[in-house]
Amino acid sequence: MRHPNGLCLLDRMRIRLGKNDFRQWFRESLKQNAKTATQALNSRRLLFPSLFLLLPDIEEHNLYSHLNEQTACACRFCMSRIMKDSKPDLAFLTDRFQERRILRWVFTTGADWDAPDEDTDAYDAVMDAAASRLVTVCKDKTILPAVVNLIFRRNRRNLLVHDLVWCLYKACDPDSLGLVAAYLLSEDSTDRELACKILHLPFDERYDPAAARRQYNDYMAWLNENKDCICFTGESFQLTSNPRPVAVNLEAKYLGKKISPEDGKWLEPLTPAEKEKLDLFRSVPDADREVLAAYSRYLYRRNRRSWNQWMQSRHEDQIRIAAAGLEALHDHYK
Amino acid sequence: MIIINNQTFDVGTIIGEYPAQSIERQVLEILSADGGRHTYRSADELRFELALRREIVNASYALYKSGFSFRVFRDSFCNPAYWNRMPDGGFSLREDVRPGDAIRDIFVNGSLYANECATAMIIVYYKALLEVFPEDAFNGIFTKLILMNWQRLHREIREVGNIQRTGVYLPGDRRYFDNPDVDPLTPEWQGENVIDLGDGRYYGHGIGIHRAEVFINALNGRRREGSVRSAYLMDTVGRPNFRRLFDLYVQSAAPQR
Repeated sequence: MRHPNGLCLLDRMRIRLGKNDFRQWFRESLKQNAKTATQALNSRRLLFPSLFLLLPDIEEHNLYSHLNEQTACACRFCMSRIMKDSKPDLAFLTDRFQERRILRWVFTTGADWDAPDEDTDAYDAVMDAAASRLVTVCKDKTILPAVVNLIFRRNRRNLLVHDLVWCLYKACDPDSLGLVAAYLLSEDSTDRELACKILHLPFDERYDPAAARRQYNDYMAWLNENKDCICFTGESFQLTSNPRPVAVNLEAKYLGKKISPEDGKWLEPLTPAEKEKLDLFRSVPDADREVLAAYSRYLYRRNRRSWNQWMQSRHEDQIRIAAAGLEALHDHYK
Repeated sequence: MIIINNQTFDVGTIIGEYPAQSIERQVLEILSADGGRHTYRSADELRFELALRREIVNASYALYKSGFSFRVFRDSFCNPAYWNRMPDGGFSLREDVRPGDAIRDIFVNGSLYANECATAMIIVYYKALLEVFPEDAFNGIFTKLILMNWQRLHREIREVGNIQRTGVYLPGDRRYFDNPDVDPLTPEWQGENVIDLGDGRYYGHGIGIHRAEVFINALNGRRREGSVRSAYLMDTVGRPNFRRLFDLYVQSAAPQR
């Protein structure tokens, strides 16, 4: 990501010189004027890749005492990942607000950069760690579009994406699935295959733009219909070849009540009337529950008055009306 | 209960073929005592599953003792005489070596290999199949092997990557300890794939051979700050498609024209 105010000195030199000459230039600068060189590391416009490449020099010359808070903490965070601390200690990050600010800088200014081959694993590990902390601890979902973009960019280079996909699932954000679904339309089969895997959809290797568009439209229609009543399952690529990231909560779908996509709990307490309806709903066979939930959702989103009337009707009538309604819909769209 | 040819199978007719305390006996006793229907087309198909389950358990012990270490995918390594390390940390079989030799090398030169827990499960399955199938058949069927957790599985064992709910747990089943509140800086501790060893213990690569509480404690030690959810053993299992593998086994044993 390019800083809106243009590139700072270090970033310009990194891009112009490449890794080795850039580091050499920085070492020379340190010799000539250590103060100016370290001031450059503290530039508010600095992008993370430059800091990453200079980490060995910062360590070697022990420049930490000259660094501002953001740069020093980012360096320490990187080192904890590069040294592979088995029990990471992030005590240098004093609070969530500071952590979020620093890790956002690391990730948003670093995610678009491809490290040199010899640094790819270390750099990607830092990006994964920053994204995972931001999403799961700082609850920052604004980075999810960049996370999705990074997953697919890495996948095209056959690099590891599992930890980032895990991070994406852990965000428990239904909208993030829509970001992935956009890759169902890609002409690149590696994109489509991964999108299908992440979303638990069947993959067809042949590229048919019309079929791809249909699959995308169907998925987005399903997502929009069920967004308020899906819950993330916690499944990941470490558990299974075919993770099912989300499951529809039929009770929420039937009652028209929102649940937390993280743990499936009601976002608002149920009223006594809703509890009564839920007891009845739970008493019917699975197949009827599917019908009731599907019809309820359909009606709820299109005609709230009719939905209220339908919900007030006797349970047997609800099932009868729902079955007939869904059949009519099916005939209509056949 | 065990059903063969639509009839309840008397396990007494074959249980004498197996020593007391053996994996096979344990499986037979669990299946026959269970109220659910466990259907086989023949006693030989049942025997095949018993043999493969025994070898899955044996391969778990063998891999545990092999010196094969735990490393995250980015730090994985393998013996380049048999395998190529892939950019994502998986291993692909070299074209100039036989699959059986390459799998066996992991157990002989374990210290030359390191990977994550799910990849260890795949290695266990291949070693078990190598013990059950004639070697030539194994080499003919399981070509172009890739060892990379549950991704890019050979089509003949693709089902091991799936999970299913079941009413009965058997030695040789793949189970999973989930750690829902894992520290995001150590996602490799998000859970542990294990093989049920049948004696109340499990083999999980990186943690070892232990009872469930040891795995749960180890995972709980890697949770993020403030977590209130404990790691737990999921109620699902992963199993190969024993029936299709048996058909392959029968075909491989049939005289070639």
